[in-house]
Amino acid sequence: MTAVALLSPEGDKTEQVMGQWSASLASILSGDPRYTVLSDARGAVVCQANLAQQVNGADAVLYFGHGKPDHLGNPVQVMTAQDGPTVAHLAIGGMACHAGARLGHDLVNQSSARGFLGFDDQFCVYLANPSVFGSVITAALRELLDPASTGDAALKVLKDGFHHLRFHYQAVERDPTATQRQRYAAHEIWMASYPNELTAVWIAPSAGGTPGQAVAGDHEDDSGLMVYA
Amino acid sequence: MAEPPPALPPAALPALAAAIRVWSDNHPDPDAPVFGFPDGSVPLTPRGLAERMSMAAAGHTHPEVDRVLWLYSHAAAAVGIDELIGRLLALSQLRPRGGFLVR
Repeated sequence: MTAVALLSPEGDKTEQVMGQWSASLASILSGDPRYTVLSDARGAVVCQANLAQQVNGADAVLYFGHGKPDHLGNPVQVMTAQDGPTVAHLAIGGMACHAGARLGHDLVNQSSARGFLGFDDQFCVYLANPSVFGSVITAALRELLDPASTGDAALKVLKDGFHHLRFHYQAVERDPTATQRQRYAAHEIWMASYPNELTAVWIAPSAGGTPGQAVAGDHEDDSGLMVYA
Repeated sequence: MAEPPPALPPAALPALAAAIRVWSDNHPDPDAPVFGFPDGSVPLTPRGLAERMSMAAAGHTHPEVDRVLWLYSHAAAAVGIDELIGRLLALSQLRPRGGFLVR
């Protein structure tokens, strides 16, 4: 059974939307006998001082909130490279801006975290309808937690999910039968999906090259979905 | 790290800013938060997007302006800046079904 720790600071509007993704995932995991939600920390209790207690006994830690290149949590730090021993051997989902650029590499390569799924640049959250991006995020994190799957597969779910949203909502934006509100929303979802698709990364100790970058053989298939070599 | 998209050409910024302004003026919810960035920054509304792109077109630099440039540079990289402007203006022509355009 995979033990999961969920961390959601929920400090502002953006983090509250991300907290809805965390709650949705917690509900899904609670109904699946393969998983146990060890802790589901929300609000101000999510901080560096409480991290060791909140992830104690976990196989994976999933964070939903603000981030910078060298830490999760802003303005209150939740995880830095100094927490490497605390998260050693855990799979980490860092749903935050920037943390895949440096922190993920530090935790994986210096402290033996099992891997880090996140974003290496800004991560754009569509606030007007949390479930649109939430469905992609929860699908990718479920893949990350699945003992029968891999981090690379989780990254593919994440990238393909945003890729699918981009093309689906581009079509909705142009649909003359859609309402004005639907077409405006479709434009916004299209806008935000593309950068998320590009900046998603999986960092694993054995990964060659720079995680998340296209490699020879990557291509789009006839349906427009990315096929990773 | 993912390759950043090409920077928006400065000469195109006024036209893009004007299109975003028209788009924002006709938005069903111009003051509702649309985009959030989990780096600690303030969520962006349609009106906020338009204001920051106008600042960019006027040559101002600021992290909030850079964030908007980053977002629209991705959109322009995906479809080209002319199509992006065309799509913003096309949306602005829409009217609420069964109602009137309210400015």
